[in-house]
Amino acid sequence: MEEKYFEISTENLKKFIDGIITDNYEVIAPTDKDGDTFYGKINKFEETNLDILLPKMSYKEYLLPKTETLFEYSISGVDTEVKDGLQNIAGANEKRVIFGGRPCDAGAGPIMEKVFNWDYKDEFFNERFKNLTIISIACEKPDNYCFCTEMQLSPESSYGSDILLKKSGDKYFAIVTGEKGLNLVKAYSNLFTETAKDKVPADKDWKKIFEVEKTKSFLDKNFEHNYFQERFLSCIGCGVCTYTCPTCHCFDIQDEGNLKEGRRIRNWDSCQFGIFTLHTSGHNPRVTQGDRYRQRLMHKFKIYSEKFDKYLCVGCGRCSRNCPEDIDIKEVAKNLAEMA
Amino acid sequence: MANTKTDEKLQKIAKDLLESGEVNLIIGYTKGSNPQRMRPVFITKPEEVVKLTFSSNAVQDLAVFLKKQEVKKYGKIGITVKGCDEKAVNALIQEYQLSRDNIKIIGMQCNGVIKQSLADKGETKVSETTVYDKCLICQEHTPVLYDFLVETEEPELSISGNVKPYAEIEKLEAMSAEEKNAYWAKEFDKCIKCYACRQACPLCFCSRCIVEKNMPQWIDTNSEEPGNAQWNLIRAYHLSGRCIGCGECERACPVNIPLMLINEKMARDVYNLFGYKSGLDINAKPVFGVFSENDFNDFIK
Repeated sequence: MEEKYFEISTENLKKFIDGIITDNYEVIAPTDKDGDTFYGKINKFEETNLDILLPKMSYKEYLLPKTETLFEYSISGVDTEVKDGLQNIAGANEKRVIFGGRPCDAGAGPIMEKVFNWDYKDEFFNERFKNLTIISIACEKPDNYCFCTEMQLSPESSYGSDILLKKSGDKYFAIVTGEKGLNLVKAYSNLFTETAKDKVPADKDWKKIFEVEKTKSFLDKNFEHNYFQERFLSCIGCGVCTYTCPTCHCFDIQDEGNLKEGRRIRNWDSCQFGIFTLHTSGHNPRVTQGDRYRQRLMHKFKIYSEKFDKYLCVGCGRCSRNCPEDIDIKEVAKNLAEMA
Repeated sequence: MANTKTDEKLQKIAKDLLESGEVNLIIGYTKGSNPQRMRPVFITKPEEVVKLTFSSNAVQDLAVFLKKQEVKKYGKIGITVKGCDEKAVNALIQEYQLSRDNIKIIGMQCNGVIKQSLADKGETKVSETTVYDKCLICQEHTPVLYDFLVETEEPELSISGNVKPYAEIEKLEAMSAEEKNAYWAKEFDKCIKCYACRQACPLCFCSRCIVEKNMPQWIDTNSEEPGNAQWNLIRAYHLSGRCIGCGECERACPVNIPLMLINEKMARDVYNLFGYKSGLDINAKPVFGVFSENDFNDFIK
């Protein structure tokens, strides 16, 4: 579908969100909780906090839950019953809208979709992803940790959003990228006014401070470079970077149960953990935290792009903002680009 | 960043230690990714000591690095510590994780550090509403043990008493068991099992954590109930009588679980029952490492 363009007043946007909530949509939006802002379910528009740049965590959990049941079993006498976990999530997200996220977060879905469909088609991810409707808001003021522009997106990118809203005075321009977004707009057509592409304000000329291709070209040639061991001596391996990241998707499959019942689950996992690559023999190919942070950089800026033609980073900057030891990935990627 | 007298003194101590060969590495603070942030720095060359600085934004407990293999290999180490963090050094010595002979303690007088969440929003003033709760109950503004002391130029933290540190603890103590359970079930539901609390803790030094032991699987791996509660409770027990209250677990937690309520409550209980506070005396035996006939025995019926 070709992009379509609409206008909606701030007042009508509130009516739109409250309207879809009344229509039994589950709306996930930035909302204040525990002294910070997180994505969470809202019961009315007023509960959103659209003044902040980004919630502390990404909304990855709505595509890849922190724990997902793959199947369950129960044994009774000689009978064994197995239940496919997919049954639990059939139609998941069908009436779920993520509202008020940013272009970086929206960009993460289609990037992750590639690895979840590369060989095995991951039915769990796909079931959640295909149904989710994403209404993002373009950023007006990215902060110093943001680098979506360097990561081939931009604060105004519509990539991955079903509807991208761009604020302009007391109204928004809505860029509708596909059927999912259009169906919602049509259902509330009294709130939207269709407009022409040339009425939508042009994107600003966002500047880059480094070229990610150069970062990659450094990584191509400098696997053993001292930089990694020196810079990441301060990494404590807490994994916060990977767990708050919208694109980090590593998981660990585990069995839980006993002779009567149990289940196979997959949990979030992190390449920053020492045990992540620990072999049964006791050998660990990634001995130091420098080795592990290098892996994270390699995966984001080199390996993924070679395999899937997309970098595995949307430049949201969460890993930097949330790092307890102040490792700033934008600064690191820039350092590497400068050394290339 | 303009060099203050504090920084000059700190840099001089570090330079002397490196030049004389008394230490091979200095762990300290340097300026971070924004003017209100600091980050750890590792210095091996005397000419690099100019990077060292200290301020009320020095939130990290650098003692966490003393458990790291990559750092341990330096042997003799000098470390910059606030009073709270210094207690972690003591506890590590008490628990035979560190030899007193291998560590030079550069004690930093400190009148409180600004909560990072506020500093990131531009807060620059040290006051009872901007510092961590641990600063409001701090008895060690001057570290209890040090080889060198760098006095502060900051004014003393004035405490009116209007801000009650760890106020939630008393509310929790007044709750019924069911209410407490409901409170913590809600908090632990947020846990994502990233184990940042463990990694940020200077005293979580087990080379293999119990969550990584799977024959048998002691702690459920799921990040739901009961796995989350199992993890958070076992960590609380493993830290009781040991936690020195630096608050790094709570600061690192990406989902804002109030972990310090647990740790502070455990510390208070241990003090009330055994008269022991962790990390104050390197010659004291850890409270759960010794038995005394006078120990609290009422639980034996």
